[in-house]
Amino acid sequence: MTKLAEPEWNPPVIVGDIVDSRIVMGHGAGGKKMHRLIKNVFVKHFGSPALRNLADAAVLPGLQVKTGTVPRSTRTRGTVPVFGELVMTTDSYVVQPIFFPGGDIGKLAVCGTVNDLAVMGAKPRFISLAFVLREGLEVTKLEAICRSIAAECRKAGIQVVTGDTKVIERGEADELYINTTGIGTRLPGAQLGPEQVKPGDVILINGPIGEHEAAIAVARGAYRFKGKAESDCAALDGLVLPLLAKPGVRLMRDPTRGGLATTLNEFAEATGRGFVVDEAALPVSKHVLGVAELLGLSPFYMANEGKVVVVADPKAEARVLGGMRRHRLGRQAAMIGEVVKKPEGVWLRTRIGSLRPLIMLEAEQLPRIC
Amino acid sequence: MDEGALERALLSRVNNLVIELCETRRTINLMEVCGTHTMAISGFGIRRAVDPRLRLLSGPGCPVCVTAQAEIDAAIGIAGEQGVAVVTFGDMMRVPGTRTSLEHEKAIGADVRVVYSPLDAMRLAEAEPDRQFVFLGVGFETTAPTVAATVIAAQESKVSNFYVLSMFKTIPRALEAIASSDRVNVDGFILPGHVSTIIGTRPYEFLRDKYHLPSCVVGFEALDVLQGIHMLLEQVKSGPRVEIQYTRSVKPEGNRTAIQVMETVFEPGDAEWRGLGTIRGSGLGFRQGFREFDARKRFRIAELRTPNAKRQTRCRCGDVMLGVIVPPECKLFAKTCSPESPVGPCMVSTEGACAAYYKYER
Repeated sequence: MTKLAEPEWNPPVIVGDIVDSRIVMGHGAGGKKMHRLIKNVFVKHFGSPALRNLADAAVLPGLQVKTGTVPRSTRTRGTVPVFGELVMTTDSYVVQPIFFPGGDIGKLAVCGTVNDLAVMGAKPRFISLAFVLREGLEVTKLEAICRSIAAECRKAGIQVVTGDTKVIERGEADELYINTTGIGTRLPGAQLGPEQVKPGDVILINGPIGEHEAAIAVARGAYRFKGKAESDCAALDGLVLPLLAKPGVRLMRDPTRGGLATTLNEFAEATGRGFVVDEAALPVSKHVLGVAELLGLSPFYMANEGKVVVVADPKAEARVLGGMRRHRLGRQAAMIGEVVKKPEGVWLRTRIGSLRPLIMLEAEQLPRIC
Repeated sequence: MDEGALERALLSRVNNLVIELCETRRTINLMEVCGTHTMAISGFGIRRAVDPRLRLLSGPGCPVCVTAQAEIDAAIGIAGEQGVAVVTFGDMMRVPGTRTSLEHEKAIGADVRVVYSPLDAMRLAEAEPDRQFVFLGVGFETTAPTVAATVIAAQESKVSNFYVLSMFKTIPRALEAIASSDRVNVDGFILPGHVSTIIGTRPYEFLRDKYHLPSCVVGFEALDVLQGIHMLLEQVKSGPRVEIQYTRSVKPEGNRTAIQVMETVFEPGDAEWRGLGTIRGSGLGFRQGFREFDARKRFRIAELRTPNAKRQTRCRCGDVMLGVIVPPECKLFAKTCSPESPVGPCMVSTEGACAAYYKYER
């Protein structure tokens, strides 16, 4: 007969001295930890009105192109007229491995930058590229990455206009990092923003979630998976910008780190509304579910690199969904939920019909061990 | 048949059975002892969907949560030694020891590496023969056999810089401790799927024979869980058995090969469970012939016992794991205790009962 001893439980002495006193990997995972860091450190020191929105890109206050022209593309002659507000974004890319099924760090850098501009309703125009290279990197790899950058830029009609190169000693970093800044011009009439969102609005997504993270997990070689795991890495400007031709789109964001759940939580926080997602309506591939199950991850929190979440007026649902489905990156687009007044926050309507919260994670998801 | 129709039909049968049983009783308490079940029951929204008189309790089924603080402290201590790398599964990174966590120590320079399998840890040791590698052996009978197989492989390949800090726990002894405790109020056990795949159902027969408690090995899909609950309610009605709902993976005799490998390397020993105290015979120590891999011996870690609490805390994780209370009944829940700064073990890992309630049930 075992008698349970009174538990001896020594509480960890964690009173602000450890939680956020040093940067840990979790601070870069897109969850609550990162949001705290941004608010408590960055916004505190440089909280310009543009920064306070904490959006993926900023409309540059007070700057507007009245009339201008930009070269049609890097390779052909001729120009195209531009006008509209200037939008700017910046991003760093540190993915490992640098080549993965469905893309590489170069393609990712261009697509990520293009997408951050596009979801703000801006046509991408210019991009800068800063490379941090580790000594020992094969130049053939660098060239392969540059070829893929060039190809993506051509597709998006965006030009590389400035750059920088730094080399660091072996052992300090992975093979290479890329930092970009993107500049675009906002389409006139794009009335996008959290203040536009109303109860009754519909939530749409252009395809299945979790593909990028599943591909990276498999590419890191932790598992010998059969079957194809490809990142969804893609530039979404061609998909989302035409949707803005008519009114009805209220808010868009590309759910990268932290996945769909994190993006919806950011929406909920910015709008003060509730976002209810229907589990049965959500597109997820069998393959991603398999990887997620094996690792003990949830597809809701897995990173995407070619997805956009669109909040739209229900009257525009058919038009927006149809527009998405006509594009090759939106074939499996779906209406996945709706905006409600109450309850606030993000909720998942499960397959058995109950509502359960879909919170923002503290930090990165960790693979489970049992 | 539309998506979820089967689940909803089964759910109404479960609720009807609860109504029937509750004509003669106030509540029915079923306890699961597996982190994946904890997450499934909350994640599928099952707890919100069943009649509230059916209480689904979370026992000590999350291996990270039940890892004693002294063990975490020991692992952190090892990580601080020169020329030593600690290798672990990811979810141990954030578990708080007394003053710090592996994640925090890694950030300030300790060599801590995350792997997905113990074999990867051994490969790291082979690749860097000048460093000593200590793998943190955390988990139940699910992970212990793969670690044992790795130890055997390391012995065969003469890898002499690889060690395991065994913090393994075995489930049946913990169930016995819970079943025999006079403070517990459990009417049946939802038995873990993955653990039972290894050990089968024989080790659970004492629940039926000695304690007259229903038990059923259950899978992890919503349908599995609902069907398992239904089978347990039937047992509550007609008498205890040891059943298997998860027949596609679990056989009564379990996986003989895995058990043999585990018993070749390890032998039962006492283990301290965070929140429950010491449970005799519920741990796994190294057998004679494999002790050169024992990190406790190599790094002279004495008896791993958490010293008696110097600070009184009102954390009630022990009561949560015994099913005496549910997490929101603890005064600290979601106030001073949250996943950001856990006070108790059940908030420590994503699969702990309090963390699951925090995430899904508020």
